[in-house]
Formats: sequence, structure tokens, C-alpha cells
Amino acid sequence: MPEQTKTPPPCCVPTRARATALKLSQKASLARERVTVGDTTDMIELPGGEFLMGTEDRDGFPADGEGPIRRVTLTPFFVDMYPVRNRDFAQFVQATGYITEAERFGWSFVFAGDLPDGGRGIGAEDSVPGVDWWKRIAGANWQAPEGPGSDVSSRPDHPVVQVSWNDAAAYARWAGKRLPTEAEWEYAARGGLEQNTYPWGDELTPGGLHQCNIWQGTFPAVNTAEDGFASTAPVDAYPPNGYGIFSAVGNVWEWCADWFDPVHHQSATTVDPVGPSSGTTRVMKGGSYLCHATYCNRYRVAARSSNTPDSATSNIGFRCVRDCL
Amino acid sequence: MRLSRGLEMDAPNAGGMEPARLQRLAVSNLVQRTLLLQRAAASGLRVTAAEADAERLRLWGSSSNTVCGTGVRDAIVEDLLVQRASADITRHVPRPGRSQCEEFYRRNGKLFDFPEAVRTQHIVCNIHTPVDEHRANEVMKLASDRLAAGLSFSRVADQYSDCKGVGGSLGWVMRGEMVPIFEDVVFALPVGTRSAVFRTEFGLHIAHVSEHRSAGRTPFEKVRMEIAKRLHEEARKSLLSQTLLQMERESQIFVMEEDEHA
Repeated sequence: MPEQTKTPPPCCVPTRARATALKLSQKASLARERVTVGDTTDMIELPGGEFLMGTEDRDGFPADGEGPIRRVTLTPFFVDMYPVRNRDFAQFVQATGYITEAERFGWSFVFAGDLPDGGRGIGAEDSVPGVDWWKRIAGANWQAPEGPGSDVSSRPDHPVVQVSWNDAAAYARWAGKRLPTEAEWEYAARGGLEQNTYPWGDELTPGGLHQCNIWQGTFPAVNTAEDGFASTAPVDAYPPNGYGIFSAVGNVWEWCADWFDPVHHQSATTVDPVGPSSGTTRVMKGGSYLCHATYCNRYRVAARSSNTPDSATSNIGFRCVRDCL
Repeated sequence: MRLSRGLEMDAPNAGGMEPARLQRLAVSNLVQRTLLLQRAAASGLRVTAAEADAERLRLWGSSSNTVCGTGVRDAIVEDLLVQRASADITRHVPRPGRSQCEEFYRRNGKLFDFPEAVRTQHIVCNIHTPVDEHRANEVMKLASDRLAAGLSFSRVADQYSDCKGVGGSLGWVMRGEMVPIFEDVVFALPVGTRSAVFRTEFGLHIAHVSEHRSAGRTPFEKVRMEIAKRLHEEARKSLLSQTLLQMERESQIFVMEEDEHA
């Protein structure tokens, strides 16, 4: 058999398989959900157009599918200035009587460092081998993010957490909005800058000033909270990006509408891309207050992660988008 | 439940499998893994901390995972022990002889057939929107001019193609791999020549062909080692599977049901 010499990236090769994938993704893009009824208060209208998505930076994680860099075209849309706050989610629950998945399961995951005594007093259980800083806490949910004894009355402007992808999608439907595609999220988070690492530029703390809520210290034992927060922060704790978007990276991971796949985008359309048609986990973007350069360097705008749609933790939230009329 | 990597068996695709079947498979894997771990202990097989660290580095590599809990380390040690117990059981499996390999080649000749192929490079300008169309035409005109002026195809590809960095190389392109329009062009191109600008569903291309090979069958001598390796591996797997079956028969195994939400 003839030898293959150099291997070009899949997006460079005009294969039949790629043609099929491209056609399917174009269909999916045309059939994507469009929502134009939600209130646009506290939303920013973004002009859409072209932007460079992804990264090939050496600090990134190629296995996550952060690259290759591709020119993506988006239709204009509105995006929430802030992640959905506890006060917003409370209105939804009050209006609909919605019960979140964590409430139905009767437990959720809480970061051990957020628990007064590592959770021993409230029966914390280890349930994730290898990541023993996550504790399974009975009674943890959006109203009691750290389980029994905790509540959100003192943090109405913090992002809601302990919400699954399904909960987030239910909220978005109620609000007349939808969850952003990954491309919409990244475009909004970049704030008009081209190929910068963070929403504000390439330097993590320009002039020594913290721009987002992440981990300082030694993960997972010591969080020195030099950025002012050991756990979640109010959504407007730091300056917005060039588009006026607050809290795009750090603070809480944000659910996106797309199913996660590390290679799908290499063969898919770059015009209003929507992710694969099925999957097991949904995309999350932005990193959280638990991210640190040595552990989870994913508070970069191009970074991506995922979780199952019924998962909830004390560091995952979301924001919504809405289509323009 | 994680399927055991250490057993070196082909992990079946769990997608779409009935839950009951998937559970049986998971239980069977767990039982076999446990038996192999017991065998490793009985044979005095060990994994040092340094070996476990080296394996973690090999598997996880990046600096993003420098903080691993004890659960991860334990799982790595167990995987290595399972691998070593498997290797120990199969250490006397003989390597296949030449005649066995020849027999395999005779019976499975089609496995070694290769299709017609051309060594190809291309310059591509992807077209996703009407705006791209105009840009692609402009870029292709510039690229054509540079090629006509005598610049090398690789250099022009790296300068003008949407896929830079590999000199436009697609390596060996086999019949049946690429979209039909692309294949029609490249399989008809005389060696050492390039095409005019043409269009596929991806965008505009210029292709260059540097070699053309007819379909054929790889000679036995070139695949002999590959066949020997394959036959040896199959024999090892077969012995391992028989041994595990025997060990299961000689063991007392209780499968405890777990609370669904535990």
C-alpha cells in the first residue's frame, strides 16, 4: 500500500465523509431554534458577522477541540449582559413552580472548599474517584447551593448555580430566549477582540488588576482569593468586555446549547454552526472560580469543556441569548 | 463502569447496546479484572510508585492534570497489574512460523489489496458565504499567476491556500476517498502537471499530481511481520480468554447489586 507522507488537518481534505458532514451541519444550522419574544432588558445586541473562533495557542488543549482557528459567520443576536442571577431564577421558579433536577434527585455536587468543615457535618460523601474535592451533598440545590444551612438570600446578584443543562433550557424557554450556541457564546465573550486569550486581552491581570473570579493559591487546598472571592462573585464584580458582557470567564461555567464533540467542527459549516445533532454531554464555556493555571487552564475564551445535561454543581451556571427580529 | 484497558480486548461499542447486555458485559469485565488482579497478587507482581507516576504522565501528560486524587493513582496501578498479569499468562505463546503467515496471506489476500492512488497537493479556498465567493476568485487568480510565473506548488499553496503549513499536501489519495469532482480531476491529471481552477462543494481548488500508482496487492514479504504480529496477538488473546474462563470456573463469584443512585 502506498505510504501517506504528511497528514493535513481533516478540514483541508475534500473527502466524501466531510462533504456529508458539511451538508448535515448546514441543514442543522438552517433548522436551528430561533426565539424572538423575550424581554431584551439587560441584553446587548451584537451585530454578528465574521470572527475567528478557537485557538491553536500552545497553552490550549488540542484534545478538547479548541482548534483549528476558523472564520465563523454569525447572524445578529441579543445576549444577556450577565449570567442568569439567583434573583432571575427565583422569578422563574415563582412563576412556574419549576423543580430543578438537583431538587428531584435530592442531592448535588458541592466543592469541598465551599463547605464549612469539608461537609462532614452534613454527611458529605465522596462519589467521584480521583476528584475528591467534589462532595455529594444531600439537599444541595439552587436555593441551597452548599446544601442544608446555605441559602442565596444574601447573594441575589450572584450567578445561579446547581442548575443542569435541562434546567437552564427550561428557564430560557420561559424567558422567551434560548441557550447560546458555542459560537455565539465565544463571539460574545471575545468582546470584539481578535484571537486574544481573555475577553479583555492577553494578560491575565493587566496592571496587576484581577479581571475575573478564578483560583489563586494551590488547588484544591488553598484559595488565597486574591481576586476578592473564594467562591462565586456578583455577576458585575469585574469590568465588562468590549461588548458590555460581564463575567464571561471565571466565576461559573456557562452551559451552551451544543452537544459536545472535539472534532465535529472540523467538518461542519462555519455559518451559524450549531454543534452535532446528538451526543452525551453539552458544551460548557468560560471556566469557573475553581480554575487555576496548573489545574484547569480553561478560563480562556477558546477553552471548552462539557458535562451531561442532568449534571449540576456549585460552579455551573448559564446565560441566555435571543434572536433579532 | 469502565471497560478494562488492561485486558487488551477490543472494547465493544456500548452505544445502542441494550442495558441488560451492557450490564452483563460490565460485570464480566469486572470479574475478569478482579481475577487478573488476584493472579497478579499470587504471582508477586508489583507496580512501583515511579512506574505508576510514569504511566500517569504518559496517559495524562499535560500540566492541567498535575493534581490527581488517590483514586486516579489506584486505577493506574490496577491497570498496570492487569496488563502484567495478562502478559504473564501469555508469555509462552509461540510466534507463528513462515508457513502459517503464508497461509493467512493466501486465504486473506484481499486484506492486502490497495486501490489506485495519486500523490496529490491542492490549493483550496473554502466558500461558505457569498462574500467568500468573491474572495476565493481573487485568491485563486493570484495563486494561478504565481504558478504560471514558475513558483513551486508547495510555496504557492502555503501562501494562498486556506490550509497552510503542509505545502498543500494531501499525501496519497485513494480511489473512493474524495468527493467525485475532485477525484475526476486528480485521477485524470498526467503526473507532474496541475489542474485549472475547479469547484467542489467545499470551494475552489487547484490540484497537482506528482505520482500515480495502479491498484494492486502488497507483496507477502512486505506484510509478513504485520501478519506474524496479528496471528501472535490473536493466539495470546485466545489463551487469555480460555485461561480466564477456567479461572472463573474455579472461583466462587458473587455479584452484588448496587443501589441505583449509590
